[in-house]
Amino acid sequence: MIQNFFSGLYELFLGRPLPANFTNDYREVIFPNTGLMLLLITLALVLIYYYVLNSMMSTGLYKTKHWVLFLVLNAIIAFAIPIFQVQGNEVEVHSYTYTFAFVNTLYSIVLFFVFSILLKRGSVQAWTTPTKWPTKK
Amino acid sequence: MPKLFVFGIGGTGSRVIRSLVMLMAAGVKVQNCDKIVPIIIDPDTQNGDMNRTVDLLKTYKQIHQQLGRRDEGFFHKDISTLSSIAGDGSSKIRDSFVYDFGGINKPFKDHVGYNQLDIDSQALVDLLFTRENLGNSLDVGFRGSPNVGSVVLNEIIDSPEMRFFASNFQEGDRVFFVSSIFGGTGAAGFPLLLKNFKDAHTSLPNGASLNRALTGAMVVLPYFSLEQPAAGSEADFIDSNAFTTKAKDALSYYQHHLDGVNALYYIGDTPDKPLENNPGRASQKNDAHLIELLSAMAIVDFMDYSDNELDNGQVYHEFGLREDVDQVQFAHLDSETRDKIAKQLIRFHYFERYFTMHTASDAQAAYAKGVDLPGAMRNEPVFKELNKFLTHAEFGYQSWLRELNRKERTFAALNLDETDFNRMVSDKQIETGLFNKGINQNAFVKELNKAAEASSERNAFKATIQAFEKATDVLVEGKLKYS
Repeated sequence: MIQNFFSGLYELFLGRPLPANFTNDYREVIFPNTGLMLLLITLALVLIYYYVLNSMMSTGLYKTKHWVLFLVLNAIIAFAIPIFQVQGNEVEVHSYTYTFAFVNTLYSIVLFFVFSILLKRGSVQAWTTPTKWPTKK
Repeated sequence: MPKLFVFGIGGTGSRVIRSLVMLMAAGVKVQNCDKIVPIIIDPDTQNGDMNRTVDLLKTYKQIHQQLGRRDEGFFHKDISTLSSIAGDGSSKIRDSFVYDFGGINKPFKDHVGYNQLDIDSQALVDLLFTRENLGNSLDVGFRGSPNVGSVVLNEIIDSPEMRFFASNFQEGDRVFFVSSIFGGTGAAGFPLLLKNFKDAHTSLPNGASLNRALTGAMVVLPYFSLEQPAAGSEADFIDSNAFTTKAKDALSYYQHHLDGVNALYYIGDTPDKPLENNPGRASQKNDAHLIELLSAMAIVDFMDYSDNELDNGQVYHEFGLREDVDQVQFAHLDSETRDKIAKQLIRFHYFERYFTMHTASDAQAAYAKGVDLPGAMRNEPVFKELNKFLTHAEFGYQSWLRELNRKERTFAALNLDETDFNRMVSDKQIETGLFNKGINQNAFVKELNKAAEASSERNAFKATIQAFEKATDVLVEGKLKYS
């Protein structure tokens, strides 16, 4: 089920994995691994940003520019994950791999934003970052 | 709820009220009343000291009105004009903190109708008043001449303002006088008003309540001297060499004729460098002085006593420092005084420093963004009033503190020019290290955000003031650990 979900998610923009002889590797291993890692790493970074740096500690990193820095950091990681996954599973690196990394980066941005909106309410210092909406008062 | 009527008479009265307003802004508690009604009595309508006190009072009033009624915190005490205490808009007097003398701008000689007097009466007047007394215009005050003041001020008892005051005086209200003993207006005005309020046959309405009213007075003894003009100069001046003589004369009068005061406070000091000699008008704008701040404390002290405590005969208070020093810090005040003002003033000082130095750059901080503070600071007039209160070059908090720091004895408890929060309080500095940065902008923002998070207030001004109240409280208790 997880395999189908992530395959569907990535193939929505990428189409069938290439080269064709590695299609199953992508669908059974690389897409699910990449998707799960994307979810967990993005969630971890959002939690660190809102609850460690801006609740437990008073780092002053509450401004939108700091949030964007974390978003970019997450995007870089998201770009790297597919490439490492492809290489780690001894699959041929192809232009498809870089398009896959690019799509994963786009997903990371969307996911980081969604997690931020959902989780920012519990932060003391950064509950208005990146947007005041939805207000908690 | 009871009210406290504070009569600030003459230049010293105005200056003490200025310090009182600063204490109220800092949240110093005045017990046993829910409203303070200052009434400034000074015929010199252009007096610099008076006008900036009035501007300060107006600004405070605007800020307090926006914040609404509260039991504690910055600007929590209601300071009202005399005309507004009726509450129903029925008053027919001018809405002002200053008693309206109606523009007396003629010489004293004309005021008493000297030229219409018969020759014997003129001789008597000549005996009681000098030629200068008779020739001086009254619109600059009484130039240190209580004999002139006692004649002119005697007439204010029948004024609409005094009748309005008496009509609205209720059982439980208290009266406090602040005046100097060595000048003209204060020295004449205080005993005169007291005599009229306490006169069993007074013509004022509500006379019985006024007779019984608990009354306090702050009598300020000489604490400054004035420059003397050069020999042969025709300059108009007040002779400060006569301050001590005049004070002694007045004290001997008080000894026998001052009835009806429940608590009488005295304060004075040996003068430092002489001040510029300006007998009146806008040029009479003296630097704030520690003595005035401590005099304002007398009002706080007077209100701390319960009705029963004050009813047990007349008591006298004098003020003393723990140590005879030129630069007074909180540690030099007695613990009773320090407990009443130190933490509040430190908190207010932190608030003022942070608000003026850092808030503009906090647009993205949760406490600011949550209530759109940047937009409110641009558009809401009350923020302009707050800025005036804190930074106005004439009457603001900064200039008040700077002035207090200028003339010895100085009030040097708070360092206005210090930008490091860890070093702002002279007698308690925060030790910092690698893992302890003390109070810096991050620590301040953190506490402001925490305070804002715990509050459900949506009004930007109220939310901001409340956030600063809580944040400064936590910082003073937790980081500065002031005790």
